Amino acid sequence: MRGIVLAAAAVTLAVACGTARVDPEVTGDPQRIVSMAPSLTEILFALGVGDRVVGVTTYCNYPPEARGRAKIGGFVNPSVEAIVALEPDLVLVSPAAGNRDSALAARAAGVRLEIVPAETLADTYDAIRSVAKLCGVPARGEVLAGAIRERIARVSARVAGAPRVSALFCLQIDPLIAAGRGTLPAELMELAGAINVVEAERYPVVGIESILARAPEVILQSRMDTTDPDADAVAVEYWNRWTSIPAVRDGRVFVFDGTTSLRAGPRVADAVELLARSLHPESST
Amino acid sequence: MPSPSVKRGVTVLAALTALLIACAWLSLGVGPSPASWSDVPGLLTGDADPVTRDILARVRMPRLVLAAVVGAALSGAGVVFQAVLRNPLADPYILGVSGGAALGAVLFTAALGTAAMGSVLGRPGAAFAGAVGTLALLSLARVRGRTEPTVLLLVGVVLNAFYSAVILFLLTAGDTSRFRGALFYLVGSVSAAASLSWTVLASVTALVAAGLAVLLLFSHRLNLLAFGEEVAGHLGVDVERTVWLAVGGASLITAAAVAFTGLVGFVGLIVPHLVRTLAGPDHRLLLPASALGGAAFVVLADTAARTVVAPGEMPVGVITALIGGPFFLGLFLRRLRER
Amino acid sequence: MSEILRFDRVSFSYRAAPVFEDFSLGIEQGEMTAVLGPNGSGKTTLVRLAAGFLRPSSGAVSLAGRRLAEIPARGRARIVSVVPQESHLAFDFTVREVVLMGRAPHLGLLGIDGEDDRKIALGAMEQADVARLADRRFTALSGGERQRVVVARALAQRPRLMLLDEPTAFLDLKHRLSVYSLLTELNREARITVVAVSHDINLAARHCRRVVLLVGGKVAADGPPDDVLTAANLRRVYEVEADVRRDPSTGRTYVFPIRPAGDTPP
Repeated sequence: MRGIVLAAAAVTLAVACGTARVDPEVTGDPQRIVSMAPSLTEILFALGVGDRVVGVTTYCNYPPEARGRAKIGGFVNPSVEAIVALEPDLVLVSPAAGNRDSALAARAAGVRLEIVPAETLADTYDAIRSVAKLCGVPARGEVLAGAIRERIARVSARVAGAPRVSALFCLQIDPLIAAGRGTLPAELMELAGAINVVEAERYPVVGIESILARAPEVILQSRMDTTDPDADAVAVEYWNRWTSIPAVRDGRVFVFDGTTSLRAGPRVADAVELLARSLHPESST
Repeated sequence: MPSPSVKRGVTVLAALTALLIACAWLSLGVGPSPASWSDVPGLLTGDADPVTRDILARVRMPRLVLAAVVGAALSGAGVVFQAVLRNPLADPYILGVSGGAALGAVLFTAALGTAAMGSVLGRPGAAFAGAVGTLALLSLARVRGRTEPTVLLLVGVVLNAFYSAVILFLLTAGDTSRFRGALFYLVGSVSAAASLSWTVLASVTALVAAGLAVLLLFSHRLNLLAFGEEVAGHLGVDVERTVWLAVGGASLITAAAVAFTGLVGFVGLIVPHLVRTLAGPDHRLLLPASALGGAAFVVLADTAARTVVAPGEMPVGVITALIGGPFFLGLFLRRLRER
Repeated sequence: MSEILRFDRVSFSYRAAPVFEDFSLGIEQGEMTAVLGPNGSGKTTLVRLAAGFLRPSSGAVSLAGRRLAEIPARGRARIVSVVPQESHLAFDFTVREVVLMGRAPHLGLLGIDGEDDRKIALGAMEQADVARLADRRFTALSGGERQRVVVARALAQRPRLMLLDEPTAFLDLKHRLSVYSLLTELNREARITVVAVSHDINLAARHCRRVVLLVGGKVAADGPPDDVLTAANLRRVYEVEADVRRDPSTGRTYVFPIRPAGDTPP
């Protein structure tokens, strides 16, 4: 009986030590940071602590300096070994399909893991603040978040007078995947003065008939492959078949780098400004 | 004076043709948008608004045609494979022809990336090539001038396993966004029809129709194969030639179908069974009847696939599997109880 | 009188096991021959070689004077029909449809049967006493009924030569007698050559004018039943002690097997 109690106590102690948070105030600010999400990578660099980033995913392509850091694998299937091998004192992860196991495995291996959701616009502001605090630069976080918020508000004010434009934000054409309610691109689009023609949630595969019926005035096509110069032409060619869509008829199909609209990072303001220029060219200076 | 069986056969075919027409009519008038049958006259006179015209003539019609062609091809091929392998559980994918098509398609996507989407005929072409290549590999099943169904089946199973492994590897190791399209292909989707020109659609239809006509010429010999190859030989059938021409023809029309729509499942398995309970085992009737029944089935399934979760869209393979699975189980259990 | 079937120095083996070596045998048109012998003597292989399903590794099988290998399948099927030992049907064809399959070698590409073909099939069903089963499913019949349907199918082929592999194996007494009576009648009236492989020594002896006794792929004896079915031959070939008598009602040889040779009597 006594043996069991002692064993239970020992196990509890071990678990408590294993999951104990290391207090940054005690050990100093993290100097070796691994980011498991492109949005978090951008936030780290925007906060001026980019030199402390030692590991990024293969999708972390902004800013250019981030590309030079060691790679820990993809966004969906990062390598736990690569993460641990870098001996980080902080690993940031944004929960997404597929990276849960890797993240928890890294934590089990002893690295300090912090979960920073970066999906929606609200997440962006929270993420900036959380990351700033974790890195010991909380003031910079406030400044950055505030600046972004202000820029977005200015755009919204500018387009407030004009009637809302119906728009489709399209991620890829084969199959046809659009941004629906509750996604970041949809939020940004609405702030830029658009009505999303897709009412379904998340990123549904849509039928072309539904798009034809909704008759969007603007099609925002996210460039599918940033490395392929022909990618734009493929997308435009596809949409040009559907001449009955107002966006196609009026020549308002825009192909652009969608990463700013798809990453809950510091460039969301850039995205809103870009979207507003396409949606309400008359309101842009 | 036609025998009673011929009269019955004509009745069955007429009924199934009527069913197909009814399903086609339904498919044309139903969709996620309000466009409906009442708009068709406007379409013919040229009065319809451009959106309705696009929806009816460039989305629903092509999908209807492709769905019917695929349904007919897969069902007809299913009948042939079940006869040649003397196995009621055979379907057109069992010998690996579809796996080859899928591999061709996935390799094409992997190799060309975004450009793959721009080439409307590229992926189907690669899929077709993969299927035909598999036929060549299947010929390895000939041992000493004789092809035993068991050996053929084994080679097919091995090929399928190999293809699956390679495809899964490509899908998991590569850029996931690129392969969401591949996933739709593997499950089977008619959505590609909207991107095809009428020339292409007409060509596929002609190819499948021709293939089915040729297979019809073999249908009596398929009856004789029911007793096994030895007895078929006693009754005057050149078994090797019949088997390879039938397998070849069925594989080609399967390949033509899956090249565009991917691996729509269960059609080639359950339609022959269903039609057999209605039309009997005589392949001279079973083959055309299954083609008609299969066409109607896939047309219906695709109507559901593009309407039920509007504005979203499901791959038609999901519907055929959802219906096909339980249906097949029910059919099987009923036959078991009958015996 | 011409030969309808000839084995000319035929050799054949299944994988490594040799069955026939330098085997020769001739069957004249119009004969009714029984091929007897113990298991493994090559009886079924003989039928399969004669039907053209198997190819000899050396030597030749000839049908009506032409080498079997040179006759296309359809032509061969119009001359010879086969009643195999067992029949497994993969699909639910009716008896009528099965018997009509026998008309296949005479029909066109799509196998569309005409009035005559249906009459011939009906006649064949009546002769084999399966006409009342015409609309039943083949797979639902008993073993004996199925065998008779297959005989009907072979009859519908209107062959010149019928090869039967143990045609009475599953039949009851009445039908055993009637199948052999039918064969005898066909042989006499329609002049169909009959070659029947059998385990039923007495029935075969009663109806067949010629008996070929096979053992180990070789002809042990060949001739009228009286000459072939001797106690000595039966001891040598079947390894049984048998009492050979004359059946008083038919005047034919009749064999009473007593005990395996070499066993001590009780």
